[in-house]
Amino acid sequence: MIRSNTNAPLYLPVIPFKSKMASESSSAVLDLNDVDTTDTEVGSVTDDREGSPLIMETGYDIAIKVDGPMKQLSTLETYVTYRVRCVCARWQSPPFVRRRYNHFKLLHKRLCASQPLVAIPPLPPLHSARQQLDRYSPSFVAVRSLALDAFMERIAKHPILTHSNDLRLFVITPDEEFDKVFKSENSALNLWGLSSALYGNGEAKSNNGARVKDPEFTAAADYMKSLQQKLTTLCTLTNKLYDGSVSLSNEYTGMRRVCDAWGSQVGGRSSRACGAISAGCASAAAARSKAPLKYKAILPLLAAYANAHLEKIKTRDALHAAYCAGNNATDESHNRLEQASEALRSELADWIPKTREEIKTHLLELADRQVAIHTQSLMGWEAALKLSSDTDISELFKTVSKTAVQNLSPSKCPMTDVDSDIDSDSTDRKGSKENGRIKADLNDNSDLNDKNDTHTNETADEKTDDEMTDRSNVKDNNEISNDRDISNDIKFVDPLQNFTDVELS
Amino acid sequence: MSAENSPIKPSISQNNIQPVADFENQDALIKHVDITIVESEQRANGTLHIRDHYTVYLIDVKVTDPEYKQLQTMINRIWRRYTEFEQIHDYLQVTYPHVVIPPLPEKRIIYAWRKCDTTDPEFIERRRAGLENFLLRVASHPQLCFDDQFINFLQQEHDWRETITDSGYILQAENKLKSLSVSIRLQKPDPEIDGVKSYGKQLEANLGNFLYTRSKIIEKNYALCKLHANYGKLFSEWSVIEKEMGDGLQKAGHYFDSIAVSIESIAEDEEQLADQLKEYLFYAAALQHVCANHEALQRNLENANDTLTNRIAERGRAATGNSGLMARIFGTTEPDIVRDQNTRALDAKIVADTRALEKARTDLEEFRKKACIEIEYFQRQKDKDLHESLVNFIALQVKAAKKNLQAWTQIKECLQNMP
Repeated sequence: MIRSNTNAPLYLPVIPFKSKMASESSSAVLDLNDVDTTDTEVGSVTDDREGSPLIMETGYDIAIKVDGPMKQLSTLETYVTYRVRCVCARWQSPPFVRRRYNHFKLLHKRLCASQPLVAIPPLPPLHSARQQLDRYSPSFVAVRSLALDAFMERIAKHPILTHSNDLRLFVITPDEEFDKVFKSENSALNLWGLSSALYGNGEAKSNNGARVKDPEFTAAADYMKSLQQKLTTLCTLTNKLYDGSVSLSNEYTGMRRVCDAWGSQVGGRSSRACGAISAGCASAAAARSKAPLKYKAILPLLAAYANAHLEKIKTRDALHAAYCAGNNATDESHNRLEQASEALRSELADWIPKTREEIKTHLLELADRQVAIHTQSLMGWEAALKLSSDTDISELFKTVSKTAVQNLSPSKCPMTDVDSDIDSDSTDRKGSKENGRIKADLNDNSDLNDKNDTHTNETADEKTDDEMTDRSNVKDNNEISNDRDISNDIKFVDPLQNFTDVELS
Repeated sequence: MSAENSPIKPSISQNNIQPVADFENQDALIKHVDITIVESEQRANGTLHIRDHYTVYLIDVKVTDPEYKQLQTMINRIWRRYTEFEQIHDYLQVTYPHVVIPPLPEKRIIYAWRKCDTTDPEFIERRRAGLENFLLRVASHPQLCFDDQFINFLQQEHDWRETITDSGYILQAENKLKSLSVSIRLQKPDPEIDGVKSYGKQLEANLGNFLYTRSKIIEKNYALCKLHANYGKLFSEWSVIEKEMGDGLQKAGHYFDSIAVSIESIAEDEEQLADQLKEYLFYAAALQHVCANHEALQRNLENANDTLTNRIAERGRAATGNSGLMARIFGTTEPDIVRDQNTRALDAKIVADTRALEKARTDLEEFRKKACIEIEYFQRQKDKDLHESLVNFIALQVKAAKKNLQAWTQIKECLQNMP
């Protein structure tokens, strides 16, 4: 542990993340992308654990990861720190350091100042006033942690920024010295940055009227703008999607309870059917119960990043306008313009494919999750179907109280042995068909039985079949031939004809 | 109720209780005719206000059995509106207290999950189906189907309303309502009937809960699927600005749209299932009605019993000349003749009371026998129907899940094929 005892901060682990972290699903369908998003090290008091190993990807000589948020109490305030780990071929770095949000902010500012032509990856947003109440909520901290991770990763993989001294300092400086190192340089840079900003702005402002459209960058500007819009919308929609899923999951749980209660009060086949529905609901609920968090962090960031590029393009355009306005048609401004244009070009060429990859990954994650949800639900419901349609010949009707059945049956209804074979079943059915279920409206098959034809069709239909066949003569009881298709588009899938009616004759 | 309408002259008299097994073997109207409700129409009451419009349904009765001569014409078509259905239903309920009368579809929309009105074409269509179901069920019941008023309902063009009102069922219904509203406390409640009554209440509660949660689920699911339409739009727009990703996004967008569309048919199917369950919800109420009728008869019996007991006691007192307040204070005051007169009068009353008691007893027993058969028959039917409905519900969920899974798998494929 690198910590010395300067201010002896208290280590208070935040609430374990495991339950809330992104896309934790036990479904086998999910691919391994999810490994990255589960934060497994949270909750530990000591910092010693390695966590997921830090591996440099091909083509890069650096890898940075931000995770392990932890609440820290100091004398003045409470705040959350994040663990930053880095392995780099270019410098020697300690296994990890701890940084808080403000430190990231500082890094961002310095990078902006030192590289005015490059769009710096954006930070996750500050708290809104409302979120102040929620500062330490696990989901909020988790999202921020992911966002910071993305931030650092983008910087590390950026061809220019990766070599920045600020980055190196950020990663290397031990925690206690960090404030000194960063802050002291900061004041100087601050001035410089401020002045350069003023300087730059002055130029731009004086030429607001003349808007020079450079076709090369106009298209890019439009694209950035649209992309930003699309990403924001995507994030909102995905929010709604997952919120809706979770609330749907609650409703399924409610239905499960209802079916449990019902099933326990009734007996016989209905009870099994209720139990089956209950089981189906349970799995449907379980499939949807968790909402992943990663997209919440990444999508807004990407949108903001696109915006940052847009800003750079605008800056460049301003330079261009200034140049073309002709007032300061010096070499210097021309150089600046060229510089800016070059920087932009290379930046965009680098950024766009990377971002595309990222977007694709995220969309695939979204799709995977949905596929998993529906697969799990489908499996649950199919099992329920099987469960409810299995014939249980040994089961008596138990809907009326047992005494009632016994009172009724001996004198009036000679009971046949319930384990009747098929023949007596079909004869039973013959008798009962006359007054069977009348659902003429639901049948859109015109081959419905005529009264005289009931019997032959039935036995054929009672074949057990697991597949979903079109509803044929389940409603075969009625001898009402309904030739009209009341509603042609309602194709009632008749699942299983499995239930041979067991009736007391 | 007249059995003359049945071509099969009943060796089955009204009082001969058939075992449940033979229930289905009895003749029913349904074996000789086809009944369908073909279409619906809007009619106006003379004014043009939309609220004065009402819907009529066209009942089509076709005699399929050439031997059957009871109905006037081979094919008959008649327009009826919902209130007239209500009338025949109430009439049947009053006239056949021991039968579990098939219920009508809902008068007001219950368990609605989206804005729906009784004038919506979808609702009218569902109601049409429900009314047809009602007619078929009544026509399948061996006793109900040959009722005069019911036959008239199917045939009589004009003034059916007068006819039915003349039968005086409204008065009976009101009386019954009054007697039922008095909470009945029996001295010796019949355990079986009580069991059935509590079962009916349970069934009502369970079905109600189920329908409620189902409506919540379909509401949320519907909203969720409609959300996918937004995704579709987003992806389509996005595909325009992208070069390489454009194709994949476009295709994925189509699948999103398909998800949004698919929920419509699923919702419709589920609505039909819900209607089936609602039917049994109302059936449960009808079942409780039968139980209540039984209890009313039983109370009659107990009242008759009490009356008789009191009368006997009174007679006893009269015989010893101890009736009246004076006698209790002063001893016997009446001359013998008066005493004899009183005693004889009371004797006559006792005979009458005993006869009444016997009648009440036989009434009750008969009712009980008939009701039990009906209940048993109903239970069987209900078991089968409910099981079927529930299984179909599951099947529908499977179908929905499959559709969703398919669409999302396609979407994933499209995304994967993006460069």
